[in-house]
Amino acid sequence: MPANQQVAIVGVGASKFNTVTSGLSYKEMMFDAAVKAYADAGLDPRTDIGSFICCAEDFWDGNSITDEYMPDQLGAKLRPLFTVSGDGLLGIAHAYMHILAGVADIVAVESHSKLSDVVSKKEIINLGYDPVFGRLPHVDPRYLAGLEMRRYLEESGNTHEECAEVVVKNRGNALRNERAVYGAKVSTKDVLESEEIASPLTKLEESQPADGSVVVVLASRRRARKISDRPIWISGISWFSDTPNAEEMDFGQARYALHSSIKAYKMARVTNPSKQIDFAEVDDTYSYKELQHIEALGLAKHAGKFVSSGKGDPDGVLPVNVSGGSLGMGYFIEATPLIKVYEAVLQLRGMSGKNQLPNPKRCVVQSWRGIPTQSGVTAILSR
Amino acid sequence: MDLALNEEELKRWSDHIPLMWKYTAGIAGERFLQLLKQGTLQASVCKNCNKLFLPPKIFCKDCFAQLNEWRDVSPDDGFIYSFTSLTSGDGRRTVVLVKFDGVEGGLLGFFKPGREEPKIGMKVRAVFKPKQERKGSLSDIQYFEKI
Ligand SMILES: [Zn+2]
Repeated sequence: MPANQQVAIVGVGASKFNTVTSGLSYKEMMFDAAVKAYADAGLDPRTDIGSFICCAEDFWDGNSITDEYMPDQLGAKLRPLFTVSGDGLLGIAHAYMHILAGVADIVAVESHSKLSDVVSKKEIINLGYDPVFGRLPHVDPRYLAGLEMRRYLEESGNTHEECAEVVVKNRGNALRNERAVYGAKVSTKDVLESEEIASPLTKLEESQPADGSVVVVLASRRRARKISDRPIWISGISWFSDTPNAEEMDFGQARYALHSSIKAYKMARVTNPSKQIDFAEVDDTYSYKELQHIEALGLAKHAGKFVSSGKGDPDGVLPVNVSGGSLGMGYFIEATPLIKVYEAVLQLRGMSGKNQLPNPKRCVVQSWRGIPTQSGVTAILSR
Repeated sequence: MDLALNEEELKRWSDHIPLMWKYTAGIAGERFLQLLKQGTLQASVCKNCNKLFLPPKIFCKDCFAQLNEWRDVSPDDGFIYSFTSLTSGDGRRTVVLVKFDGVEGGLLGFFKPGREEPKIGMKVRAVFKPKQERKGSLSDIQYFEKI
C-alpha cells in the first residue's frame, strides 16, 4: 500500500517550548524557529521558498493586523505571504494546496504562541462566543467544556476516571520528552481531586499555556526527493467545521474529527486506522477531548477502556500523544497542532530522543480549535 | 528610582485594548428577544427538513433554505441536555443547556439554586423574571427549575 506522495515535509524547526519566554518577542521566537527549519531543509528563504503561510489570531497577538507583522522574521519580505485565521494544521492544508496548484514548489508554514504575554486569556475566550446568545454574564467561558464533557461521558459510557487516566498518561509521557515542560507523575486521584473548573472538568484535566513557535517547510514530490533523504509525506489532509452555535452542537461525538478523518484516511488509502496507524497525536486540550477524538478518528471504539488498559501507552498497540500532548507539552493556541506535527516528524524520522517509538511509519495528527468551536483538521503523515 | 521596576517595564510593555461594539441581533434574533421579553419562546421552522431551530435563524444549516415561519415552543417543555457547575465572583452556579422535544438547539441558562440536583434528561421549565425587570435578553429567564 504505497502512501500518497505528492507533498512532503522537508524541514522543521522550533523555538524552545516554555511556560514563559522571558526577554524574547514573538517575532524573535519565530525567527529562531525559522532559522532552524530552513537549516534543517538546507534552504535559503530569500530565494528558495515560493510561499509563506502563518496561522495566527489578532486577539492572541494583541494586534489588530497581526498578519502584517509576519514577513521579516520569516525571510518573507516582498515574497508571497498570507496569514490564516486558523490553527497550524490548516496552514499545512493550505501549503498542500499551494503545491498541488502549482502556486509554489516549496512552502513554509508558521504558527506561534506567546500566551505568557496574554493577560486577558479568559476574556479573549469569552469574546469567541456568540455575543447575543453565548456570552453568559460573570461565568467562566470554560462552561462549555464542562457541558460537553458531562454529556459526552453520559453518551459514550466513558468515565471520569478514564479521563483522569489520559492526564496520567500524557503528563507521564512528557517526562520522557525533553522538549515538554509539563511532565509530571500524577495519579488519577490527584486529577479527580484537583480544583474544579467547570464540573466535572478539573484543573489538571486542562492543558496549561505554553510559549513556542514552529516552522514547517513543505515541498512538491519532485523537489522533496532532491532536498531531503527522509521526506515525511502528507498522505492525507482534510478539515471540517460543524455549527458554531453552542445550543446546536453534538456533544456526544466530535463530528468535525469524524468527517475530516474519513476524508484524510481516504486520501491516504487508510482503510483500517486502528491497524494501519502506528501512532496518533490527537487534540487533548482537555482530558475528555482525547477520548472523544480517539473514537472519532476510528482508533478505538471505547476510548476510555483503550486508554485505561494501556493500549494508548508508548508501548501499547497504538500510542496516543507519546509526545505528552497538550496536557504534557502545554497549550499553544493556534500553534498547538504544529507542535504535534513537529513531534510526529521527529518520531517518523527516528529522531525523537528518549521517547522514540520503534520504527513508526504512519501517524495521524488531529486538531480542534478549542471552545467554543466544533472545527478541526486531520492529517495523515507517513514516511 | 527603582531600577528593577524599570527593567521589567523595558522587558514587557503593558497596554490594553478598550473596545466597544453594538451587536445587531438580526431579524430572527430581534424577534426572539422581543418575544422573550413577553415571556414566550418561538423557534423558526424549516419545512424542507421538518426542523425547528432555537434560538431561531432565518436560514437552515442543513438544506440552506430561507426560513420565515415561526412556531411557539412551550417554556414548560424543556429537559436538561447537559449541565456544569462553576464558581465565579457571584459564587457557585450551575449552567444548563436546556433542549425541547423536536427542536434543534436550545437555551443556555442557569439552574434554580437550591437543594435540587440537576440531572441529564430532567424535565424543566423556564422561569421568567417579573415583567418589569425583563430587558429582551437571555437573562430574562431567571432560571430553569424542575417540574
Ligand atoms: Zn432545512
